[in-house]
Amino acid sequence: MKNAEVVRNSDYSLKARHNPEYTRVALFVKSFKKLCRNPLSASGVIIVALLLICAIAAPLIATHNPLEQDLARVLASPSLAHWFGTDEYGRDVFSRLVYGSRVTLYIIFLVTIIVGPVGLLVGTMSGYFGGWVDSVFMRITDIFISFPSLVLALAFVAALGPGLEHAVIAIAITSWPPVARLARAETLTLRNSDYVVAAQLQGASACRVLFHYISLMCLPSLIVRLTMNMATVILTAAALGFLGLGAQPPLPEWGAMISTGRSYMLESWWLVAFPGAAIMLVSLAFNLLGDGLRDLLDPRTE
Amino acid sequence: MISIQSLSFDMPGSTKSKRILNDINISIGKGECFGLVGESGSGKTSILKCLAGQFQGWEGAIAIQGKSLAETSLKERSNTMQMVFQDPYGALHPRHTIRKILNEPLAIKGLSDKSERILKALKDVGLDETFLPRYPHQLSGGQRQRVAIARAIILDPDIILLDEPTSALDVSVQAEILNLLTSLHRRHQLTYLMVSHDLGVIAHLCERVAVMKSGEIVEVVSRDDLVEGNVAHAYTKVLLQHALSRE
Amino acid sequence: MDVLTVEKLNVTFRTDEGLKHAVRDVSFTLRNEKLAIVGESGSGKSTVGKAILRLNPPSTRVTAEKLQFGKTNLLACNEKEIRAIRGQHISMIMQDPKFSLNPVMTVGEQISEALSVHRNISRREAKEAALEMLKEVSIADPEHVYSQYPHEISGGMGQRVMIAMMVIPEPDIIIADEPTSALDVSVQQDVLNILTRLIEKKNISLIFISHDLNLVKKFCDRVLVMYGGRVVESIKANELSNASHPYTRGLMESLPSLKHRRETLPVMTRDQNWLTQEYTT
Repeated sequence: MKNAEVVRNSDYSLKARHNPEYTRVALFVKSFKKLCRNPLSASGVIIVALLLICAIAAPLIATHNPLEQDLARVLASPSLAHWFGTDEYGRDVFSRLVYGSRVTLYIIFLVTIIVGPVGLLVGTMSGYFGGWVDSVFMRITDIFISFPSLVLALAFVAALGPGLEHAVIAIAITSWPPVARLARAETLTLRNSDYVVAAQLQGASACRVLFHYISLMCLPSLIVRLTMNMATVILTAAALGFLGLGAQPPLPEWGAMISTGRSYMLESWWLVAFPGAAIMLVSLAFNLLGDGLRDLLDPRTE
Repeated sequence: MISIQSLSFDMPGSTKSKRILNDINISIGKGECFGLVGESGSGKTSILKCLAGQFQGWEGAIAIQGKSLAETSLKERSNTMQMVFQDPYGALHPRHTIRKILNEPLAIKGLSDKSERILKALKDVGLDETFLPRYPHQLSGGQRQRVAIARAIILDPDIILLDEPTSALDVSVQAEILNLLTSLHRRHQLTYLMVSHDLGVIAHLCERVAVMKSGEIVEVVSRDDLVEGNVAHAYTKVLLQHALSRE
Repeated sequence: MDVLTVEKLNVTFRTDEGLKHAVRDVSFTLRNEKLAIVGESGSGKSTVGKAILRLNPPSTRVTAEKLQFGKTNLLACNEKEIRAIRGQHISMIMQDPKFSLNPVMTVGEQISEALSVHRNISRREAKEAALEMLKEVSIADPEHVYSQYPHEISGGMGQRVMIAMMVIPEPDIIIADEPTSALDVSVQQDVLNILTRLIEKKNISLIFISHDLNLVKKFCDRVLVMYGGRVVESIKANELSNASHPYTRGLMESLPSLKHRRETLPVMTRDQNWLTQEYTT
């Protein structure tokens, strides 16, 4: 066909992009390299990766059993045998920190898989349908946003009773509204775009437009938001642990570790300093990673 | 094929609504290419939006193949009418491959033999199957517009609404797309309703042209009358003189 | 007299896919004339205009054998000296006036501020002169437009205001980058007429960047046709219909014509050689 000939050589500047190997995998590798080029986001990636390794290979990395008590070596200062010292029951702080990363990741993971879909669904629906659907959903998010999140989480845990799962639910309940707001704002700009109109003209149902067209475009900014959110989740989880409403002893949770270590803080600084440093480092890492992802995924910076 | 009678539309505003279409009457026959020409804000695109169902609450009567538009759902409308947009980049979902873009209308309708239909539509617009795994940003402007046209014809509609289909393209690519539209019109017995600000482009494709100004049709002229300068309204004369001065 | 001499201008961008050579060995001399730079998207025409005033993004590398503006060597200028030349001696008119005007100041205030800075006159005199300027760009009701904000005026009106502002410092060169592409056809002609009248009156040279060969054929004196970052043809505007380069001819022919309608429009077959072949006059 003659037309096809014409098309193939019609734009010289696009030749480079016409490489068929320019696939999803290649794109991912390229994006990852770009992410690592910035030293700040690269350090975020490294710390998050270390956290993942710690959680997966905890039994290999930990030097002691995190729950094993050794009353002969109570409150020992950091040494070669106990790198980060021991706590009031003689448990190894380093090993507890390593196992604590499992708890932290468990909370982050559960909260994110609850908050992401719920926020996306509520946000895109209220943005797409508008009218009374929008009014109802947005007033509900307004109510949730108008409470300080820790207070709200406290109230929920108090009502449900302390425990790790309840802490997760409480944190999820307090952190979905900003995600929904974001998804709604994105949807409002996408709703009238030509490709959505084209889909409607093809007879696509609202459900199809939401899932196949709009959600896909909301994902990048949502991922950035959720990554940033993980830092807050860690802090809230630690705060709940500190107040004794999160993970219950003897489970090694960083916030709870600080809480119990507080009584011995003046003589045994390592009980508070190391879990505190871990919390700070990890939440900082998620913030840096989020910043890097935003530079990468935000279409406005392209 | 399309009959529009005393169509009026008020754009609802925050304080007061604004009339953007006033008493539009058009009748387009089967297989005809009908053009709407006018400047920005003249309401030419608004007519397409009323037809495509993006604007609700218009007054008057629109009938397509004798069937009232107000009583046809968007889903039924999709079998007879499709649209090609001005901006070829914005009209294609940036994260869908060409395969997915062309597959969507078939999947919505639940049609079988999807791959054959996709290949045929691609061939109709002068592309081949090597484009299927690509994303819109990997294509040039002209190729994107070809994909958009393929998506419009894949459901075998009778009517295609063309909203400035070439104004975002370079002149040499515009020529390719205009040729493609001409040959598709002939091969598929399509009815075109085309909007453009460029009288030259409109007159190339359309036998009859409605000249629009501030929400009203000032004159409907045939191509032959345009070429001979046989126009009545002063505004048409301005547009025509401008187009001729550029040749 | 040569106002601006450009010799072997090269511009490269750094992109994700590596270096992109946007402009290759572009040479031209601007006299007191209206010079058009014409090409399709991606031909590098706008990049040439920006490179003269160093308005390209920081990742751009601009090299040239010569970039001579009057007695000044633009290549040797530091950032401060370039800024003094920008606006004072070489002005630029962009495609969309909305982005070039300050959105929180009325149109009149912006013009009179430019005037008072340039001519060192009092506010009252500046306002008088600004109204005079608005009248000069054929604005029927200058008093009314004076007190309007940029978003309240139409595109054609905005472009007139831009032209008024750009000629205030009486520059030697105006670079106009697609100044009429965003305007309706009936307004385009008016804006071009105003631009022509003012630059002829004030003896300003014009570089007119456009994608529209038929427009510049009527309006400019000389035309540079660019393709793939290179000048493929330099030709007097009134001789365009006998252009020698197949690309120029292809551009002219591919436009639909009212008078001579062809069932199928001629489609250009691009030749790889156009990207490398040396242009000969």
